[in-house]
Amino acid sequence: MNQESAIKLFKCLADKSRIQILCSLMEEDMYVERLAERLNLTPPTISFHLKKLEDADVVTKRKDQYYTMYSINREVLTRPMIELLKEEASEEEKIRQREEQYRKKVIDSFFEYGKLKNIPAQRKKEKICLEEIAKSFEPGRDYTEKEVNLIIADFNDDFCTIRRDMIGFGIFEREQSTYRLKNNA
Amino acid sequence: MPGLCEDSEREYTMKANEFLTYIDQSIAACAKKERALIEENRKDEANMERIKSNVYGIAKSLYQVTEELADKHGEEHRAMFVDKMEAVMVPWKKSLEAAKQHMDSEKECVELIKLSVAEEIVKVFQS
Repeated sequence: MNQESAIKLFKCLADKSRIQILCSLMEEDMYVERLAERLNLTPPTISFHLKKLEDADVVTKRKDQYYTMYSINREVLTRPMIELLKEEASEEEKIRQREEQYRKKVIDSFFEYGKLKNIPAQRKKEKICLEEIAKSFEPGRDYTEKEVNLIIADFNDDFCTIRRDMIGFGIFEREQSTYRLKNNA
Repeated sequence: MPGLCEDSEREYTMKANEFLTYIDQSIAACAKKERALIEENRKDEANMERIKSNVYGIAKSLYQVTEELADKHGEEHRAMFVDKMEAVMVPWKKSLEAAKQHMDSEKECVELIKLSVAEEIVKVFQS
């Protein structure tokens, strides 16, 4: 676990309801409605907290007949805190993490459920979004313009602008009417 | 019979004041709960109270705007307010469906809160 993950974990745990959920799950695995009844919170509120706990890797879920059962992740919760504090990332790793965080922030703001809400006005942010779309293309494969348009249209209706800008940013290379991801893209 | 018109005007004003008092009291109650939840280190649930309070705020603004827009008080204003509230709920319902589809429980919870408060407001208004 790196420091970023540790911060995420501590932030997630700094909430009374989530601590109470974990205390309940320490007794036994439970489903949302049972936790809701026990903690006197609504089921959507419990689901909200469970999602945060899941994202911080403190809770896991599994299907059990009609219910989704939640359990605590003992591996994470039993780690000595001193270990979490020791794990300092290298400078290179820190830069990489910062870049990754920035990319995530841009993607979270401009994408919703896999759709690009609008094309960012800032070039840097647009490039990040187009690189995200480029993940849907196979490296080394040739695509016709129609195929490219169809794939991009799954993300946003303005596939012409996006396709042209992908060439402009050097994500795609075009030879006659064939498109292919650039090697360094 | 000037008395009849005056009576209905008086009844309308009384109901309007009652409704606005309910909205203001609800906003105050949300603010109180929000403070208590922050004290208890339940920040996310405190944010949910803020969301509820915002919905009451939206309803209050819509009520006041439609009151000015409606040619005459009474039925026209009532219908216009309910229409506007329902229009506000349309994107929230869409967003709720999308959240359910993508198993986004955080968003689902927020949209459910917004919709339940808006529905409660319309119900109180129509009662």
